[in-house]
Amino acid sequence: MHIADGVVSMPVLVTGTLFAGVGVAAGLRAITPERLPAAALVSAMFFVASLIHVPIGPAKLHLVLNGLAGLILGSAVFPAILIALLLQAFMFGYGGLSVLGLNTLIMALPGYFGYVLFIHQLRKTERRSKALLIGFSAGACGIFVASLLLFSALVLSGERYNVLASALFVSHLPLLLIEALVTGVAARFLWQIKPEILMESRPHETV
Amino acid sequence: MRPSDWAYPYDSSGLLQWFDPRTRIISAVVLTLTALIIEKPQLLLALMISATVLIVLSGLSIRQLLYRMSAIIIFFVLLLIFLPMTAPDFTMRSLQYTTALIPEALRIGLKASTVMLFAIGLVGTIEPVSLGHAMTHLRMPEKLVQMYLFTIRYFDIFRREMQLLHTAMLARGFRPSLRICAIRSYGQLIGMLIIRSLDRSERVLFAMKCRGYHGKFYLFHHFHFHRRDAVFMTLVMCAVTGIIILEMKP
Amino acid sequence: MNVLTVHDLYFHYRHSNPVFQGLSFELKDNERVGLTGSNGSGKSTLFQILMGFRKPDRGTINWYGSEITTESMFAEVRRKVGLLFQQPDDQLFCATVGDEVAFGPFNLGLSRSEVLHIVEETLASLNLQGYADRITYHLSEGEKRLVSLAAVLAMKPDVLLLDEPTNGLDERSKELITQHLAQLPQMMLIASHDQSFLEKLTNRRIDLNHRT
Repeated sequence: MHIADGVVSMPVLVTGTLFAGVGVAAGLRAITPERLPAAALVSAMFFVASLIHVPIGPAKLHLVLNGLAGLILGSAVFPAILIALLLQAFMFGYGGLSVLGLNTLIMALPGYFGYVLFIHQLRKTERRSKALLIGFSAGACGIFVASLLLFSALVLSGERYNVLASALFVSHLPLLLIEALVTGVAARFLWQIKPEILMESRPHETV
Repeated sequence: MRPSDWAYPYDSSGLLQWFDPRTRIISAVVLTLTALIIEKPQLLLALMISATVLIVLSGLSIRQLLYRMSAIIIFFVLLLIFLPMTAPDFTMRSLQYTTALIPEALRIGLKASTVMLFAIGLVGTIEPVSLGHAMTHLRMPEKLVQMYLFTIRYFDIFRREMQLLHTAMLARGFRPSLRICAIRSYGQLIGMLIIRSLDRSERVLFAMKCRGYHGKFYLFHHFHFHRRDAVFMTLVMCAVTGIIILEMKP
Repeated sequence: MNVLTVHDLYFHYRHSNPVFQGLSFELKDNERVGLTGSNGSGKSTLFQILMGFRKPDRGTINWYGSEITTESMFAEVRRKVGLLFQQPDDQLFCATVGDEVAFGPFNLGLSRSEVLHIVEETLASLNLQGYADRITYHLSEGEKRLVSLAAVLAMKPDVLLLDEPTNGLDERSKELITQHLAQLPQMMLIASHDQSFLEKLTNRRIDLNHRT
């Protein structure tokens, strides 16, 4: 899901970084002083949870959880993912400084999409199975749109990346299924145990 | 991830620790931008060599370096496999591996690792808390820096919580796998972690209000810009200017 | 004169049983009172109500002789009343000890040099000299508890509300914090299970189990 430095063309890099900047600024604006600890701690928790390894045959798979993060954080998913990527860049070498913005856009925008598309339905629904289905869709949307953005960033950067882009896109499909299932279960769990979390005005933020 | 990766050598005797974090961040940004716009392979190689020198000065061990470079090495292998497939004389039927785009792949790989080395050597060796303080001094948005500082403050605590829950699952017969019941457990684990982090954030907000929080943060820490920082910056700027002049020459 | 008067307090969490049903007690001037009660008897909740973080269903809270109802009145109270949280990790949200101790004084509107002075003085009074640049998540439990106390004391409160101050500490750290607390001039309301600890520090005890 990460693009390395020096791969994409300058126009793609600059456009991606600009859009990410807009997203991060909007996300930060939406965080009031009252909400800051909640937004910060939840995004820290997402960073930790994304370190969970799921064994897939002999290999291990990282969860991305951008769909779920979008559902919980709304537009704050942009700064949350930027920080996670900054830390990952230095801890594991996932991308250097130049692609921070582009990678943030690739992962946060799909999460925000999922939020816009699905949060109202999740708030309204009264059936457990439907909560699961909505979460599943948000999780699938997170990975699918992110893979699509990754694909476009590469293809727009030059014809030479066509095969690589397609290969990366296809290789994300198994991840899509796992993420969608995990997000579905987690969304159903939150919907059932603590529905306030998904509401617009959250009780802990109106103290 | 192991704790040792988190506590990597901020307090190392590396020479780069002598310089102000702000100097290192600005240098990293300038050098990264330079590496991005340079196209001549010889100049890229020169930048790569200077990045390697910085890594040596940073005091990172070979193991730590390899760990951080592993993602980029995998990416490089992918490039070597897939780039040639887009060459005009490549056909799926013959599956003949063409070397036409190998230099291109090499150039991209060189660029990627140069930028990565600058980031790891100059910024990655800054102690995370100092990095946050330096970001404030570099006029990054206050809320972003605070979110970052909260993240590193609670990272270890959340990781311990996650491990405790995971151990509790294992103790009750959970086996990590891709079976549906295992996926369900992962989903519930993550849901539980989110609820806990929100509960904790409520108490943290109380603690902040107890001490008069009204939306503003103050940082106690201060950096000092020394003469050696000015020297380092001048050196970086001279090198960058030189490389850009050489790049523009036909 | 009563510093704190709680009258006829009722409180329950959503979807759960009532925590308080008609709780009344007071803290007189220069008093040190221990709060005892079993797990879940609402000691932490009571402190959160007293600081205005949770709204009671019924009942009144008087601080310094006047009834406190609004958030801005509680904000005033929080300048004079210091709360030590049960979990230091909830209370210590800053990355370094210096930032932590300076947070309160900065919010009181003091100047940078005044804050620096208070930080040094407070840390020194708890034998924590040289801790200002230490990183919070590298501290031991005992150290975290002392730093929490420093962060509270830096606001120079008149009253301390201490929520299980010895919880999870080894014998040595427990003794250390007891000594420091015994030397403090503030009035105190201390929630604790530890009878011998309460005997050392308080002159009166309230049992929440029999009051609710």
